[in-house]
Amino acid sequence: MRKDWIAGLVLLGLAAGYYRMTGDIQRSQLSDLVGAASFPRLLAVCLAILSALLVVTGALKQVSAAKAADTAAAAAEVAQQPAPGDVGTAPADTRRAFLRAGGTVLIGVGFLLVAPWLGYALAIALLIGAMLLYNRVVLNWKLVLVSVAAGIFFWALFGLVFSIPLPRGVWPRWLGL
Amino acid sequence: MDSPLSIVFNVLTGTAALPAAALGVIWGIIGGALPGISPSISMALILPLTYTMNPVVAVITLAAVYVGAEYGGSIPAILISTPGTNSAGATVIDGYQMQLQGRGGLALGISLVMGTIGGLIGLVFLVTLTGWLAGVALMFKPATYFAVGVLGLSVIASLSEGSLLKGLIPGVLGLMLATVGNDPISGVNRFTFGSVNLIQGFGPILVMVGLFAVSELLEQSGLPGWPKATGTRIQLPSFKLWRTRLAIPTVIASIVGTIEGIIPGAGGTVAAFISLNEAKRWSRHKEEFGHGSVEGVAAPECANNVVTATTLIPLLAFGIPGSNSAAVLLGGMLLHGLRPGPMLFVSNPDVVYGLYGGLFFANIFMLLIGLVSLRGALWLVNRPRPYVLAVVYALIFSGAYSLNHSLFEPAVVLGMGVVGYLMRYVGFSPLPMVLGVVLGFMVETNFRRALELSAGDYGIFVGDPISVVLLGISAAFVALSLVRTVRDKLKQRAAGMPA
Repeated sequence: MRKDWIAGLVLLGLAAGYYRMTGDIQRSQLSDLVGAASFPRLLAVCLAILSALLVVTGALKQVSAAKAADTAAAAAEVAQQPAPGDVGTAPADTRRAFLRAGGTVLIGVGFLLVAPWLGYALAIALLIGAMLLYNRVVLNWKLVLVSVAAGIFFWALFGLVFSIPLPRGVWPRWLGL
Repeated sequence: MDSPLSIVFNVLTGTAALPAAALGVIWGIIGGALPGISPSISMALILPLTYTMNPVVAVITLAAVYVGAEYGGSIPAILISTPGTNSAGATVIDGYQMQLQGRGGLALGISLVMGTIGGLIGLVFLVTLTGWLAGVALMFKPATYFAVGVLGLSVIASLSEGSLLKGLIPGVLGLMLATVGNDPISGVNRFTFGSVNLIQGFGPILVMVGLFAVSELLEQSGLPGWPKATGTRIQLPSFKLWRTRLAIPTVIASIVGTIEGIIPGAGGTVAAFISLNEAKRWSRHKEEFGHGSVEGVAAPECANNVVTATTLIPLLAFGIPGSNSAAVLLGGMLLHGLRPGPMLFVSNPDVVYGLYGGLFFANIFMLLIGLVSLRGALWLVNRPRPYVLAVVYALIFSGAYSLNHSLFEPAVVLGMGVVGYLMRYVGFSPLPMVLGVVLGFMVETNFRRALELSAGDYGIFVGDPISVVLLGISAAFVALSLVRTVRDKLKQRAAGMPA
C-alpha cells in the first residue's frame, strides 16, 4: 500500500543518515576489537534491507490493489452502482484524526514551553483545562474548578508527597521570594 | 544464605511491600476499568513514581498493578461491552450477555474469583519453572546471550500483527535507539550531538511511556465517549457452580495461560481467546456460549490472570520480556539497576522471592479489593473520556519530569508518543521497538564480547550448541511467519481479493 512504501522510503533515508553518522563515532584507545561503530553500522544495513523490502512489497500491493479497484469500478459501472472506495470518507477521517492528535501534541508542547515560566501547578492546570476544551467540554465554572483542583492536586502529590523540586516559574522572583 | 521462605517473610514484613501491593492492585483496577488504559499503560504511568521506592517494593508494586488491571479490564467489558484491556475482549462475548440477562453481578464475581485462582495457579508455575530455567541460563556464554536477545526480538516480531517486516523494522529501530549515548564497552559518545541530556541515552521508561501511553492518548483524542454503566451488585459463584461448570475451564485456562505466558509475544489476549475456544470445545453446554455462558467468562478471565505470572518466567530466567507489561516491569527493574536473568537469583534473591510473595498477596488483595471496589469502579467507568485523557496527560508529564527533575524527559516522552502514533498508523507494532531498546545493551555487549573472545571469528555464534538451537528457533519463527503470510496471500488471491 501507499503508506507502506512511503514509510519504507523514509526509513531508508533514516538508515542512510544513521550509517553516515556512525563515521563520526570516535575510535577509543579503550575500544575492543569490534569498535563502537560496528554494531550501529550492522543495524543500519539491516534497516536499509528491511526498508527496501517494505518499499518493494508496498509498491507491489498498491499495484495489485489498483488493478482490483479497476476491475471493481468496471463491474460497478455495468451495474451502475458506486464502486468500493468511491465514497472517500476514509482519507477525511484519517486527516481529522491526524489533526486531533496534532492538536494534543501542541498542547503538550505548550505545557513544556510555559512550565518554566508559569511554574508547575499553573502549567498543569492550564494543560488540563486546554485538554478539556480541546475535547469539546464546554467552558464553564466546572471546567475551571476541575483544572485548578487538578493543578493543586498534582502539585501536592509530586511536590509535597514525593518531594520533587518542581518548576516554580517567575512568581518567586516577581514576588521577591 | 537465607532460605527463599525467610527472604519472602523478611521482604513482606521488613518493607512496605504489602501496602504497595494493595495500592498497586487498586491502581491496576482503576487503570483496567478505564477503556483504553491497558495494563502496560497503567504500569507505565506509575513507573516513574517507583523511582524513589525500595527496588523490591517497586517491582512488587508494578506486578500488582498488572494483576489488578486484568480484573479491572473485565468491569467495563461486562457492564458496557467495552473491554478495558485487550485480553478482556474475550470476556465481552458472554459477560455482556450475562449483564443484559440481569446476571452481570455473577459475571463480575466469576471474573474476580477465576482471576484470583488463575493468578495463584500462574504463580505456582512461575515459582516452579523459573528457577529451573535460570539454572539452565547459567551455562550461557556471550554468544548464547546474543542468541537469546535475537530469539526474543525475532519471536516478538514474527508474532506481531500485520507483516513480518512490520515486526522486524521496529525491533531494529529499538536497537538503534539503544545505541544512543555512552558506548557500553569503550565509553565513547555515540549520536549525542553534543547534548549532555543524551549521554545516558534514551531511558527505556521514556520510550515505553511514549510508545504505549502517549500514542494511545493521541489515538483517543476526539473519540466519542463510552456508554454509561448501570449499577449492579457483585455476586460470587458458589462452590457447586465452580465444581460443576467452572473446574474444566480452570484446567484449560491454566494450561493455555502457562504456555502462552512463556512464549514471548503471545500474552494474555491470545491466551484468553484460545481458552474461550477450548472451553467451548470441551463444554457440555456449548449452546450457551455467546449467549451468557458462565464458562465463557471463567475461561478467559482465568487465562489472562495465569499469564500475569507466567509471562514473568522468560523475564526472570533470561531477561526477555514476553509482553508489553513484562517489558514495563523490566523497565522498572532497570530503573533500579537490576538486570533480570539467572544472576538476579544470586545477586538480588530478595527481588525474585519478594516478587513471588508480593504476587501471592496481590492476588489475595485483588479478591478482597474487588469485592468492595465495584461502586468506585462504576463511578470511574462513567467518567467522560475528556476528563480521563486530561488527567492521564498531566500524569504522564509529571511522572516523566520526576525521573530527572528536568523537562527534557517529558519532551522525549512526547516525541516518542508521536513516533508511536505514526508507527500505529503505518501498522508497526510498538512492542518490538520497546524490546529493542531494553535488549539493546545485552545484544550489543554480548555480540562484541563474543567476537572479542573469538578474535573476530563470526563462527562463534554457531559454535555453541545452545546458541545454535536458539538461533534455529529464531529462524523457524521467522520462516513460519513468512509461510503464514504467503499462505494468506494465496488464500486471498483464490478468493478474488487484492493481496
